[in-house]
Amino acid sequence: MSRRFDWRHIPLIIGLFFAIGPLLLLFNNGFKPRDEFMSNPLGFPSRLAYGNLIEAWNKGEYGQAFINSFIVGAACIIIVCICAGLAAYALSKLEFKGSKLIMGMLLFTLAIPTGLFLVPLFFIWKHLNLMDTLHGIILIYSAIFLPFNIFLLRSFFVGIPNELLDSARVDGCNELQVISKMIFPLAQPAFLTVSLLIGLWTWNEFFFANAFLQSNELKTVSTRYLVFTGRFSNDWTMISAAGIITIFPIIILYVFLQRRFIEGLTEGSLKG
Amino acid sequence: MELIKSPSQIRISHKRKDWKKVILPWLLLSPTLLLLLLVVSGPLIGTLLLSMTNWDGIRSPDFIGIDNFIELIQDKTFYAALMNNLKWTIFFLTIPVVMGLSAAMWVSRIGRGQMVYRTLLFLPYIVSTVVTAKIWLGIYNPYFGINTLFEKLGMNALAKFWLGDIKLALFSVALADTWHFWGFLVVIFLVALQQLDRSLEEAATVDGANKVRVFWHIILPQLRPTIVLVYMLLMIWSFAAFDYVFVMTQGGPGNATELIATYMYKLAIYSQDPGYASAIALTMGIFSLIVIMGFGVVKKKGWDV
Repeated sequence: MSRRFDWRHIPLIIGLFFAIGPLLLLFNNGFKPRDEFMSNPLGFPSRLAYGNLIEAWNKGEYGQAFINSFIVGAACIIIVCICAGLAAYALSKLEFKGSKLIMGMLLFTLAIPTGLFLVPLFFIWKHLNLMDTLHGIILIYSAIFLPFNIFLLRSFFVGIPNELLDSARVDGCNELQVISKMIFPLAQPAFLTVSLLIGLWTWNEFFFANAFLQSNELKTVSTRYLVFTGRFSNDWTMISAAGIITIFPIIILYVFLQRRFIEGLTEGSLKG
Repeated sequence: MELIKSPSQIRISHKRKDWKKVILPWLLLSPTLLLLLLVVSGPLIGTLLLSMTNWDGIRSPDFIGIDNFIELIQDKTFYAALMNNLKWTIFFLTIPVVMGLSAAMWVSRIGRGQMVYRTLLFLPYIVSTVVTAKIWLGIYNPYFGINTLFEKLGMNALAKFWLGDIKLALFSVALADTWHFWGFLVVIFLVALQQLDRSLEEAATVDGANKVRVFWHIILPQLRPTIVLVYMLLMIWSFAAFDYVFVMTQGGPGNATELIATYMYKLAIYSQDPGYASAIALTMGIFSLIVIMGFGVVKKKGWDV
């Protein structure tokens, strides 16, 4: 085989430009001094104006939003890892009547549009005083993340040999000890993927957060960004700088753990 | 003939069996089921009931039978939204799929750099929609967006009112959404392509088949399960599409980009008409149910479409 340039790189590089271009534009605009924006909208900045980011951070009160997103994310990770872990164990290692039915039901919940249960949920939450609270949104997120992550964990658990679990049982472990001493440690990579995906979703989600969190001091990062852009709707320097703040943590995580993100998101959808 | 056992023996063996086969599984599933009952299944039944009521959200709901659905048929906004959802679905079943499959084909055939392409093409998929939708709002802006570039290059014909033009707006939003997730399709197709049986392809090439024929007759049939799955996902997502329209156009100009989900959201959250919003939500649910059932049939038939 000759080492000549593969023509396929040409359409692929165009594709790359399409994929990355808009993100580069965001960084370009966010770091551009404000007075250059209108005179030179698509060009490079003459100097990097880091001050934009600090200004956006303070004006948007992003500190509180980051804390809220961390609290919601961490709580969802704990709840989903425990609930989905137990459910996935039952669905992969225990044979029982109704397991097919449960799998079907989980698939159904995964596939229906979230709008289908939004309206009554809204009124139930009002009634239970969960409206406009962080624990209210944590419960909603945990529930809607569960089906996908049960499938993800289940497909990993299926690969754990039954003999290994049986030998633990022979050694005197009961079922709960099998789960805590065998399954959880062995499936650590799968739980890490689950945690990452939940972190990603809670960070980006705004359909429910926008409807269920009204107080400014409770808003998560994505909904805070919506409020911010509404307030500074004509200041594209600020909108871009706040956008960088919003997506930066996710991009950093992606740089280090991209394989886990990609495989978790695509395999989960395929298995489901 | 049954062996004779003392009653206590029977009870003990039953107990053990019950624990492992009945009690334990449901015990492990109970937190999940409780959460789903509270957040999903319960409200789902609520939507069914509410769709047959006239309710202002405060007083007790009046039962009005199928009046909401009769109103729905005559509702011009709903009709516009339904048509837009159909256009949206057609768009997503063609353009992103062709883009994703082509890119996956090319990536799978190059020697080096597969990981780089995969990583960077997937990147938009993990970035927050609220931010990316704003980026695209900037790109489409007539004063400082992509049009300034077209004008500089002398391509004034391309400088359109992307979001202001009733005929273009829906397409412009759909393009932004395509940008967001086509990398996901690239990876899905890439996974499928890497599992292909390459020997078939080589045999066909030896027999003199050209690249187009190899693609149509060898590669595409092997991708069938993946393509059917992708189509199911895209249909369900297209009918529930919400994010980009909500952030970029709020359904405007006029009803040019209104989708069923955005219309429902407005009615539910802002207009305080929960009964009617529920009826609309139900139409979305019925559609996805049809898609899932159709998918089940196709799966049973061994992916033959």
